[in-house]
Amino acid sequence: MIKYKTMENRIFDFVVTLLLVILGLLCLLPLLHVLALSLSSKNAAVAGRVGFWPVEFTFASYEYLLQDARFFQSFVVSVKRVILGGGINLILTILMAYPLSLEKEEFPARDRYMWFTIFCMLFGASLVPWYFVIKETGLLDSIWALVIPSGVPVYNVILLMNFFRNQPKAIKESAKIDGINQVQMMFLICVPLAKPALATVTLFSIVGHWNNFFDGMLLINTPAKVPLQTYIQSLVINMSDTSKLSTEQLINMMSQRTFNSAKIVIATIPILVIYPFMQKYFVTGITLGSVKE
Amino acid sequence: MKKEKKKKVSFARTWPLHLMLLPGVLVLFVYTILPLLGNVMAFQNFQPILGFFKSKWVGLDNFKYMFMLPDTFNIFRNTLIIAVGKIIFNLVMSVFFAVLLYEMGGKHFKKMTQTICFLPHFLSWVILAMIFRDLLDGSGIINTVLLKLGMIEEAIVFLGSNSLFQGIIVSTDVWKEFGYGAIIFIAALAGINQELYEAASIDGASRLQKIWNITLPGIKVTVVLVATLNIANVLNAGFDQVYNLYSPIVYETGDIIDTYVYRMSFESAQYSLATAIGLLKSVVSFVLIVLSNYLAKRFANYRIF
Amino acid sequence: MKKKWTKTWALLLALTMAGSLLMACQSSKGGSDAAAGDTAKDNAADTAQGADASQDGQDAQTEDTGAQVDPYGPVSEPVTLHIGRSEDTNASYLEGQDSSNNYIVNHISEQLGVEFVYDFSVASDTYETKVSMAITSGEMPDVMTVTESQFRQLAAAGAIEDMTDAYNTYASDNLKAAYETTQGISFGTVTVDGKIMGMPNISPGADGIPMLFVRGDWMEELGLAAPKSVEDIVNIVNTFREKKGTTNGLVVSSDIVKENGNNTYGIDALFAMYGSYPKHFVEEDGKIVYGSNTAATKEALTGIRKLVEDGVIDSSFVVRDGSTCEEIVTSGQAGVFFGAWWNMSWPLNNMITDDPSVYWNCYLAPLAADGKYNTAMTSPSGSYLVVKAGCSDAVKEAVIKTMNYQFDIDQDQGVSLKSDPSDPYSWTSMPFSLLLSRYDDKEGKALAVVNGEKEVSELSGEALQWYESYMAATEDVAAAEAANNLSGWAYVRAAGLLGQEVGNMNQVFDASYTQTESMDSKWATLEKLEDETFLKILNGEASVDAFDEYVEQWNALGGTDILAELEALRQ
Repeated sequence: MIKYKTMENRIFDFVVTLLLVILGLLCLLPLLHVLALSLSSKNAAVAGRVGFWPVEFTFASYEYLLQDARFFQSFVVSVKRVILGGGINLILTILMAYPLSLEKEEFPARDRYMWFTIFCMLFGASLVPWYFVIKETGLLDSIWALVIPSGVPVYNVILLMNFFRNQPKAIKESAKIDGINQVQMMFLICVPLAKPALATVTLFSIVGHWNNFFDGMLLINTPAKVPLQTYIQSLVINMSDTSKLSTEQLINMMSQRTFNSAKIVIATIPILVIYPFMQKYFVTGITLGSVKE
Repeated sequence: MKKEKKKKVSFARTWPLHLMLLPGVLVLFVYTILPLLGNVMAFQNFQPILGFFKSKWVGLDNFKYMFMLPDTFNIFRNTLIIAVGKIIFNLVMSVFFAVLLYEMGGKHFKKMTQTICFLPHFLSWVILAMIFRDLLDGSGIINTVLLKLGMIEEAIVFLGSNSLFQGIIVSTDVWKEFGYGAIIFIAALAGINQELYEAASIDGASRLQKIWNITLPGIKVTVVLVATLNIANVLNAGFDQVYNLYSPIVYETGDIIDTYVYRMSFESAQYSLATAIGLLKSVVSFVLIVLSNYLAKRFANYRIF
Repeated sequence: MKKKWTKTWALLLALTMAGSLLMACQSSKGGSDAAAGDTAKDNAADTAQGADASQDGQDAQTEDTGAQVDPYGPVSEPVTLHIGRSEDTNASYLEGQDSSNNYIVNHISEQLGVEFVYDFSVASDTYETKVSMAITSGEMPDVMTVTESQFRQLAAAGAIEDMTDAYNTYASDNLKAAYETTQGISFGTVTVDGKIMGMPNISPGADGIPMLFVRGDWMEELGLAAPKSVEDIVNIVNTFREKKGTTNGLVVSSDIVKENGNNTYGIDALFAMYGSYPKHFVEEDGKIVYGSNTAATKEALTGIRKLVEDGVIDSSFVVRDGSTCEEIVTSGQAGVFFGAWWNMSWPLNNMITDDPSVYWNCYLAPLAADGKYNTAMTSPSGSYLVVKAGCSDAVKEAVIKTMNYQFDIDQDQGVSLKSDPSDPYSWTSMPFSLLLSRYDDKEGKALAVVNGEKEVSELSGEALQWYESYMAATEDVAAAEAANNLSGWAYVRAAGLLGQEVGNMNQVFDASYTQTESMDSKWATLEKLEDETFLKILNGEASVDAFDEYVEQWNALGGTDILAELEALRQ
């Protein structure tokens, strides 16, 4: 966008910047607080003396988390899971989104597949039967249990499908005239044009896999195969029924504040690292004739 | 314009498409549809020891029970208010933020702000609840400031007020999610044809007019899509958040379906009831989505699905 | 074309459905058979392999002549126990060891000739779900701990073994004595038709007795006397506020009463003074009544409500949780709260790190009209160890004997097994996740130290730790703090008081600790009603007369049924 330095633009820009700064601060301050908590002594944290800056600076929580061999083990498991799961998600998402984006004339069965997919999105089964099926298909206690059942992220499929559908028809039409078939259309035309959408769904998928602690909790029995978030989650006891805990456990449970914060910081770092790289895909325009930023 | 005879598309032409869909459909079938068979629990008095086949069949009893509980009306009402509030305000705020970023010039500042605002999504409610409880406590910062400014005479127990609780839940959730939710819109905005703006400039349009006439319509499709998909969540008011922020004194406006069921299941694994409610939620979401799809097609000529 | 597809789909669907039904059938029907078969196979395999364990076992094998049974001796035949357990992921171990392979488990395994295999060993929050899955899928481990309602279901379905004989024959004197301290409560819940169907845990009763904690250094400075009545407490609160500038009075959280004990920042003691025991089912005029619905409770509510009005209890209490309260106390914004005996150490010892002159006192106050301290007593048991039906006698023997070891080791804190005193010890190293203490455990240990009842040389394990810490800290608090040796000192002071004042306490046991069937479905609603009503009455939103309406509703919504069920169980 070529912008002229008119008065109107100046004021407008100023207001926009101001609003963004406010929003940014609103988000930043609590994050700083969490970071500070994670770097403060337990006593200071418990007594509520930590503001935006660490009080009685210490790496204790991080040391505690990192010294454990299990931490690194589960970190590796999570990385594996993200790559494997992210890959599977991406492939399956594209494979499903493309046919669904076609018109009924080109693909008559399309509507039925569509409703099937939506149905699956809305009707999630409850724990016990789900666990059952996973067990019976032999996936239990393996990394496949973490990536296959969740292999089709329906929300992403619908997003991508819409995106495909709204791609400029002109390109597609001319390709069809050239005699291209469906597979080629998908790989050579639609996918390359869909970079922002692909980046979006990939990001969602990565974040989803990275943050997911629940399936690790239920489906993995061997401590060595547990993903990072599940492991960290298990360190923080969240029980409401305290009668079953020994005094030792109760005391541990009560003093989790710095620990919780460190856990969040560590869990967020990889995303923080990846996100700026993915950003450029969001920001770059794809339509022909646009001025790149 | 002659109407061409509709050509029947041969299977020979479409089989690659079916093949493409096959792996995904298979996964969905095995891991989403098959477990649905287990929803039979909703119609039983399910005891783990008896399993699916020996547990007593009770038909619609579980559903009847749910509706006859004294608090059912309250719980549903609270859930709807909170969930709808979240859907609307999250949408508005995400779009607003995405547009602000879009209008923004400086590349680095833009990237930085985007990253910062995107992070609260990753904080868990366990920690956020602690932070908000401190902030909103009778002797917390917000009260102290308000008292000093003379805007109130007595400290307000924010999280204990039935009139304020729902608003607090919605606004804190919006704060947490707007950055992450904006991502879709940022991607969509990237696809708007720049020539439109130049043409508008030539016509003498102001910044605001450009936003109103080009930017927003440009992502209208995405907005409708996201809104519709989110309708599926109209009965999910956010267990984690409410659970960590509520207390018995705000049960009246704060107790949602999920927290109620949680307390029930906690005492004694009430699988049947939990499943029944899950089933109910799914049915409602399904009906709503079908409805919105139909309405969009009929009145706005949009095809969402 | 369309028709073809529909047919194919339908066929596929039908096949898969049939297939899954078949699979499911097999699992739930043949489950217990298969598992029993497994145990037998395992036993055979062990004997065949002649592992180290079985060799040891053969050496000390007891003759089948009805001779003296050694509660700690090897099991009559080598056994492999499949266990389901919850573990503490926070625990630390020796190099190369973990929760299934450590010096404690290995010791027990060797001594008994038993091999411990964990079907699942997971963090406590997942554990219950795993147990439910295990039960549903029909693949239960030989041994696992379950909740009361799970226990009831399993017992009713005949899915667990009768442990009466095994217990009577193989339990050690220590273990038997421990169960006796529970005064029959523990076995009361697990006895079905006169048979003991599961082994309950034993938690210390001290956990359930609330104590009053007051800033001792401030009291000394301001010349305040030990509080005995509510007025004394109010006086202390006000003086602190005036002279010390505290922003909070008596620190209370929204969990005002709990039936499970360990209610830090609760006000159970304030209710008890009136003879009111909310959330407990107590005896009144020969009948079982719900403690929250009695006339005494209404009186208590009126009295406590006044405290809130007067600002002695901060009106924010209705939304505060434990961590907020903790902040207030440890940052010096308040100096009075109710808690459990172990609160003397956490979080209060933290404050000493920053300021060694900080000193806290504990009291049993407020006293009732008769000068005694009223308190409800909590149940010692909440979890139950069950053995799957079909397991052999040898398995049951192994289970009891393992429990014998667990009890002793825990009392001792593993000291006699450690190669180095600084070796890590954690209950999670044990084979079963069943806490076995004594109901009078904490008082006993503390008194041993305080009264000099035992010679130092006789003390061991936890008692010895407490003694050493106590001696060190009484001499020099700062040094003991630096050496991280403050907890024993704190525990002795608190639990010691409990032990010393037993005679002056009015310990009220519940008429029934059992959970009934109606409770399963109705309790959530009833509890919600109660919590909401009480908090509203206390913070002034509702008048005390709302209490009567509440009692009516409580009864109508299922309370009467529950009381009837409890009475029936008593016969």
